[in-house]
Amino acid sequence: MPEAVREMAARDMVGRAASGGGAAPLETLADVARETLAYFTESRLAEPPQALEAVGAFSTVKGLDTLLSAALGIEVTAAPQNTPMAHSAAAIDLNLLRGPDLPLFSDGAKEYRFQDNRLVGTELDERTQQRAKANAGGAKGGAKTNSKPPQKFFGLTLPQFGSGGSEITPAKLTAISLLGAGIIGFLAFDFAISPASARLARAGSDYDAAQSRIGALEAQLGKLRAAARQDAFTGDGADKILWAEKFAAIAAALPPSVWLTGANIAKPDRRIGDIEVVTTKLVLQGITRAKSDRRLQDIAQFIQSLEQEAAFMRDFRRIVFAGLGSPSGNDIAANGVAFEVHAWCDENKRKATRDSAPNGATALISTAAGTAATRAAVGARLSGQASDPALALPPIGARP
Amino acid sequence: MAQLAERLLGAPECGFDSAPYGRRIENEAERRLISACRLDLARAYLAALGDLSIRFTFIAPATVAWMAQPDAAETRAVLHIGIDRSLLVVSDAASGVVAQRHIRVGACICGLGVGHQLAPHAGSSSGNGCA
Repeated sequence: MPEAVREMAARDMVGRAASGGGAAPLETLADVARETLAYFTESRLAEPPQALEAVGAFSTVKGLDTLLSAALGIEVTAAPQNTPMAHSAAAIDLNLLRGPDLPLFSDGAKEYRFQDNRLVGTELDERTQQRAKANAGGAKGGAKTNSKPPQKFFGLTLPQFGSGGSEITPAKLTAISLLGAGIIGFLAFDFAISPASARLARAGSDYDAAQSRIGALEAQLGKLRAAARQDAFTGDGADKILWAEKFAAIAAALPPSVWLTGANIAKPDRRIGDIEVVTTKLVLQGITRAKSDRRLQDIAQFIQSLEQEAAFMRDFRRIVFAGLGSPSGNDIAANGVAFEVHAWCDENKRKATRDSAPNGATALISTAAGTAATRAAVGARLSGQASDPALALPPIGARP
Repeated sequence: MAQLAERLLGAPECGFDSAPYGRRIENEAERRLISACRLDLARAYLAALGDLSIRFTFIAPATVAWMAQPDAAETRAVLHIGIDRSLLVVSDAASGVVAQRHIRVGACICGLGVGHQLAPHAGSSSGNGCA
């Protein structure tokens, strides 16, 4: 302790005030007491007191009674230290709890009001209890402890809300929930969303690559289809004559009295104007053993039937009668009459049919289907199993 | 009376009470002693008592204990010296006049070997002012 402070502490305050050594606290006290008594007697016209009773820490201050007695001109008496003052509540009935009809405090389950000179508790509903507990925890500063045991759930202590103290409050729970949601969101993004996004990006690039490859393949397929279509119409096999259908048509067109004795293909040179062209023709040689009045009629019927066969006429422009003669032996009555028919091949006729066909894969399919149907019909006719009796060939060896 | 107490104390909720004080003279209104306190202060007192708070039945200003009894014939003056302030109450039950002064001068027990001194507080807002 500094020397100056120790000196001031040892100095008698009353003596300092009496010696006029400055405005001591006792001077203030004496002045206020003097002014109060003067106000009491002069302004309020009341009887002055005969004595001043000093209580509290009065006895601990040296010489205060003498100073006040001299300053006020009345006797100053000190009550014994630590002696409680007489309670005058019975005479002056003042109770500050009586005035307000408001709840003064609550213990969580009840709130207390001052009624009939005592504190009466009323039960609170559950929500009000929670709110009152929270308020009481804040107001009492933990003076009252929460006697409710903590709730257990599979050995874990559950947090209690609204009880104040260090327990988890709804605000804390909200903050913890937000923090937990943030962490979960981060983990979900880091472990699930981010890899999924990467996989999605890779899948997207793979899809784009596949799309471009599909486009390339489609382009190549289109080229192949075009090439196939071109080959089907202009290739080596495009202009081939299906002799099976021709023969089937010839067999169907032959009258019963007509026999074929020869068939060959001739390619004579021809001149059309100044241009020398090579043409192809089918030479059919046969014999008719019909009666004399029906021989030319059978030949004409044979030619007409051939001309009406679309399958036969697909590759031929026209059918002409080349000649009539006697077979070997010159016995016309016995051997019949020999004749020759020429069918002139026409390549342009097939091209015209091809140009009138639909383009693209549809045309290709139609053409292939038509060819297949034609081949099937010819096969059926050759095997004698044709569904149409008109197209069925007579069995081999059968005679008209 | 509640509005008067709230206006005087500047608090939204107040505890208050009144009691007749002073002899009543003919054709004169009854003189009453009105006392009020902030209710949050009273609640703090009750909360500090914990479980004992429900046994509380009475809160009255300390001045009442030092006032002259209603049937007293003499004026009574009481000076209470506190730790950091003092209270002077002068009351006359016959006329119902009461004067009360709070003086910011109190006794401060500073420690062994120093003695008990009177500490000034008038005009000072910091510390006890022990000298």
